[in-house]
Amino acid sequence: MTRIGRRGAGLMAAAGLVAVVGVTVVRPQFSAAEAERPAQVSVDEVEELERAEQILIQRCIERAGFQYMIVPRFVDPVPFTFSYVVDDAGWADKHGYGAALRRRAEAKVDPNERYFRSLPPTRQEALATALNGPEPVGLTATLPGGQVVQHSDKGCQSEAQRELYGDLPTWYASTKVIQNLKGHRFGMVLGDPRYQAALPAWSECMRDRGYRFTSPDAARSEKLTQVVELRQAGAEARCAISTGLGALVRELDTSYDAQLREEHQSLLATRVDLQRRALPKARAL
Amino acid sequence: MRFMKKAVAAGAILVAAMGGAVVSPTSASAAVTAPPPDGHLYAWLDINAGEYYHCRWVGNDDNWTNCTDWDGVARNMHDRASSVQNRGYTKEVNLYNDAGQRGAWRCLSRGEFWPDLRNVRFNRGSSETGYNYPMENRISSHLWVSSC
Repeated sequence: MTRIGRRGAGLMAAAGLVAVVGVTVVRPQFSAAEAERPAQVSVDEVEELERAEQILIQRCIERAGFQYMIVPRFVDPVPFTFSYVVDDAGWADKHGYGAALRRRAEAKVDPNERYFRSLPPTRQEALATALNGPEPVGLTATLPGGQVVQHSDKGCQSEAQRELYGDLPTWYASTKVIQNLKGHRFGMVLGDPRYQAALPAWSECMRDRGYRFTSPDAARSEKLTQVVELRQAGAEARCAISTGLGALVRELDTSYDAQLREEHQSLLATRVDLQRRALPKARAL
Repeated sequence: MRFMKKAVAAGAILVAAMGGAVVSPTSASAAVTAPPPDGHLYAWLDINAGEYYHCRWVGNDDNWTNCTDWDGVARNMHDRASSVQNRGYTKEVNLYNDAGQRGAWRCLSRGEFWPDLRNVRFNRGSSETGYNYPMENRISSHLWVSSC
């Protein structure tokens, strides 16, 4: 509330300034301030927005006659770059590829899911509809490659996002495209000639340690016992460090992330704009 | 059975629309009707949930060869699905190229409908069977997960 107060006061002061001094003087300062804005909202701000969305969903679900518990968003316990190659030997010795970590995280049943399952079928249908809307109509996103994704523009999730972001179709379409970039980036890194060129050295290092794999992906395609997983991932990590494969995938991941952000600049800017405008609403909840 | 007529009507509209040159995503989405979320994953033999033949699941299934539809009729959806929808509550779902939650996969978010799997490719599990292939007629198993 205090933050909104300060912002509000700032805006009013700026407006006053426009009235007194005139637009030509004030405007350049205003644009400069806008240009200095970071291209993304901060992690904290995203959390504020997600929490606000959860509060709105809770109110909406309760209005529909159900319970809804606000829970923190599920976070994958395995760092994203480890899906290319694990390059932290200590982590690998303890967690392998992270299979057990993921299983444990998945096993913690969301209290909302537990509540949902406790209901009789007709009530389950009513609750799922309350959250996700009826038919998947109203929101459409077309992803690069032509994939069409649809969702209902009704239901508590959509209503919460509409209340926060205003323009729900734009919010949905931009969010889906941006979420999809991660998978796209993954494919770009693996297809990069520098990655391909670095594989033989890694593979040779692995062979010296008793493993025959042409790539870290190939090493992951077997279902392993935990003991084998830890040993194998430990070797993978040590080879990723000694051959530089780990550093390379991190570099490529960062660079393709930047490239994709550049390519989708206007979409990202639109989304950031919606997020910024939603922040005061989120803080007022 | 209750959404059969709707689905057929939707198909008819789509066919009518396809008489023209291009079906825009908007007109396609307007034509699709389906039952409300009920906690299930749904998969249809046809694109746009266009025919009745489908399967639905509450839990995980490591082989889509034996599955059942809304009426409890036994079906086979192994390597046959052309559209899918996540009608679960809070969960998302990984769709796999192979039985036993093996092979390449892709994650379907909650509340989401993919009306045409010809344009969707498996995007995870790069050294696995099916990676980067269109998902139509390839999905063989699935696993509910907390987040895509």
